[in-house]
Amino acid sequence: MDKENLQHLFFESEPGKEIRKCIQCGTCSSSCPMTDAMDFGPRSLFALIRDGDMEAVINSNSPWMCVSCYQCTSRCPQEIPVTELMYSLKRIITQTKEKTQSNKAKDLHRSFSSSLKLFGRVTESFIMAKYSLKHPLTGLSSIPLAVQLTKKKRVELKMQKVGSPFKFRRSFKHLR
Amino acid sequence: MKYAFFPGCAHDTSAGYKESLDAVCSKLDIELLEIPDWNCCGATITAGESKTSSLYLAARSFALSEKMGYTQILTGCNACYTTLKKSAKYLSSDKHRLEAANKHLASEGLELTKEITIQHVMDIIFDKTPKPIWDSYKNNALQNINIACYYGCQYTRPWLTGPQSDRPEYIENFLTGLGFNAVNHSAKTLCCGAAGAMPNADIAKKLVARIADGVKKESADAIVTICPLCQLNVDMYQTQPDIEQIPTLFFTQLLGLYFKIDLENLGLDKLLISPEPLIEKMQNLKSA
Repeated sequence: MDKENLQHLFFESEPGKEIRKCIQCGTCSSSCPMTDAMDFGPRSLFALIRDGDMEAVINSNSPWMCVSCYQCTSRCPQEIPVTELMYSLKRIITQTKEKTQSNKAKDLHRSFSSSLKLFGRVTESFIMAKYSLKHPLTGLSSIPLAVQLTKKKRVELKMQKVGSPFKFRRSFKHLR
Repeated sequence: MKYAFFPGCAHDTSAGYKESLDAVCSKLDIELLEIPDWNCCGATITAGESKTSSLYLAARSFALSEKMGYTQILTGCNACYTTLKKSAKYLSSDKHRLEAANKHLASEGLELTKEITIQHVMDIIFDKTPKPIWDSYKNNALQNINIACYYGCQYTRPWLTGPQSDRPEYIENFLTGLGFNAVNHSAKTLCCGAAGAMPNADIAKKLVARIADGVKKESADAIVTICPLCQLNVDMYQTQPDIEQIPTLFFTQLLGLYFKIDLENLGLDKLLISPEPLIEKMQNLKSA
């Protein structure tokens, strides 16, 4: 999809047009606990969207790094629902199936999602294992913490699931 | 009183939340009825894939709750709380979305017809239980126990505005009412790293250090949490070098200690940072 269409899609998404109100004050980026790990903080990201540089936007890790703490949303002087805009970006990337650069946070999203889609509930050990296949180094470095948790009987290896994962999957996969 | 309860996927493996919540609820005559066959709320993930899917997830558990005769649902997890509360709002304000969800629910013979309200189980414990039960355990010496209340995100935000959003006093007021000393600190609603902690351990360590080091300066004996993910991150990253260590409990575990419930029923042995100093201090209190 070309840049104009992506930008249009964003402005048309709910609540995309809200970023027109952005005064670039940077309250969002300075409130965000994840800014340090983002390619662009929310303020820069919004400037890029308004400039139409959608390629940089969809290839950045920024929307995926958002942990939904809503600090930006509650502090924005223009009352822009920043967190919802991050969700909107993630949905556009997911639904247009745009090929984008891989990043750790997106892979974690996908690992969570596959646990949910298969079983209707998620199991932390499954998410960890699936994620570690893509990021073996992160997986390895988490082992000491995982061992500590296992010793305290805080790791569940049995998959948590709904009564009939088959029925759940059947309903869930038809959703768009 | 009986309530429908949505445990969420992290409830059973969290450090004694289930055990201590059950123990405290039975003390207070609250019966939590697990919604049969509930499914994951999608947390902060599914809403980033498709709105229809994320609303379906909520609607399915809502319909199951409606089927058992309950339109008010309690949960003990901040992420479930906000995800479900947002979905309940969308579903009740938009007929088309509700219809779309119901179309997909029909294949399982389910239907959502009523408006659903979501509450944190803490709200019920604090606001809807008889005062005399609490008063009979009151002890002035508890003022020597310093508690740092940690709300994390998604309980106050995005719901409350102004000071209530960043500097809430709700848990503080309740615990002070029981006799505890609630310390003031600036990280009450700071993020713990949430789902971003695992792929970004460095950031999680920094955030947890900011919380732990801050409350240590206020001489806190314990950090009290209300969310499984907050408890996990704050407890776990304190085991890393150069971070202060303060026992990090669920609020229900502290209430269990207040009610002098047997320790083995509170799951305190599952905490990574040992709660022994706190337990000892509480057991050695002389009533004033």
